Amino acid sequence: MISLHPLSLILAALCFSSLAILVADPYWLAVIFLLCLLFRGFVSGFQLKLWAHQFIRVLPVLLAVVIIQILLNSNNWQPEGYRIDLAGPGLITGLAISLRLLIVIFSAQLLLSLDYEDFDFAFRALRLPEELCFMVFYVIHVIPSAAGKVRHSLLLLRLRGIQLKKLPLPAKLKIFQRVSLNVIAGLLSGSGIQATALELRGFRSSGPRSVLNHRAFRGSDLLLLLALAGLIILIAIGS
Amino acid sequence: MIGALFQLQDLGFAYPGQPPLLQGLSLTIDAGEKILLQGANGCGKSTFLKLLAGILKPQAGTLLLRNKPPSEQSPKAFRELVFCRQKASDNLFGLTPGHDLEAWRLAWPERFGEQSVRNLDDPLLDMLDVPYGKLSAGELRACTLMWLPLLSDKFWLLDEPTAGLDAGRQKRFAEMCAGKVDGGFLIVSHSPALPAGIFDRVLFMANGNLRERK
Repeated sequence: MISLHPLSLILAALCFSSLAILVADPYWLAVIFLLCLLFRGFVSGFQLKLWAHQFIRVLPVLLAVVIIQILLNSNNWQPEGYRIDLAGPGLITGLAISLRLLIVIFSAQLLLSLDYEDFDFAFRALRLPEELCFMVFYVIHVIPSAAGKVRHSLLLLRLRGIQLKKLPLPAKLKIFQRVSLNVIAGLLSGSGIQATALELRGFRSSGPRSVLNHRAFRGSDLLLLLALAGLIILIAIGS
Repeated sequence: MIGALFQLQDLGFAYPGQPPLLQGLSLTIDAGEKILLQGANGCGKSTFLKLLAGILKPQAGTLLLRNKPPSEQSPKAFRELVFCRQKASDNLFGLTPGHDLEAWRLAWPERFGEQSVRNLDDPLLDMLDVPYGKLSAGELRACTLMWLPLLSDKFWLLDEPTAGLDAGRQKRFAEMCAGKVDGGFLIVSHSPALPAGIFDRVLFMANGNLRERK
């Protein structure tokens, strides 16, 4: 596994996700997705089982996107009536959107592997204030944190022997209302506690900041930046 | 239900990237047994309870709750258990003790009726609408234990249940355990408030395994 400066990882994730939005050609999107997978493998190991699990979880969404694109494709509307063109532009558009989603999800997973200190290193290297680092870090971790809280609430119900599927609708709605309130309140109070912790560390005090740990850029970071620049140029020329 | 509630054979568990925490652990726990589990900090007591509750899966050996691995059991199987984690807030549903009561009432409507709840005569019943964030650590702990009298026939899996409780509540909890007739318990505790005399067995965890203390 390659050890990279956190800023390089953030830049790589930003580059992949930006390319996913800017590039329209599905072949190039497939190349970007493969490169994103390779990069993630080199950084955090080729955890094929985990990747397959993540892919299966988003598969229904991807299939829904492809089906909707095929069904709503304008080529289906012919003078003689409506007919579904399975291999037409709808499929290509659906695949392109699915690939975009996959690239964004898999590059976002790169950021989730970084802890607060990593973000601090990255933002310090850019001479950006720690407040910004805190906000970005918190936003990136909001969804996984909320998902964790939902899972915990559902586990509590399971341990009490409650079978959600068998509950009447009003009871189900009440449970989901309680769970969502708990998640929102947990996130708000969690951010408040984190902000107080930062204040206690005096991160807004004047004068130069002292740091305990340093992280220098290495040759591998330079190689990565050159590779990303090369990819962007290649896509700009090729598409 | 009587008979073996949990059956463990050569159980092994390790957290990812960590050395084995539990290994070769064999034990049978009957539904009516009263067990005290002790051991040094970090020896795996809480992990052991999480394995019994099906929150974690063992990597080696077998662990059965009524002849089926807990993680594969339906929620119905857990109606025989009450599990309380070490961190009190992890056991509470929703935002207030009132929400927690609603969830218990969904599981056991007949037990958690208005009158049964009022009969508990706990001062915390006046704080059902107070958010957890405004309760002290001791009050949160007391909230997790408040409903135990209504679940006295269940097998209790309790992790440090007296931590943070005042002396009066600790004494009442010990009396409740001593007077428990139906259903047993497995309690992780080092509190002197729980005398060894109220337990049928005292287990000691060390080096990833359990041995019985005479």
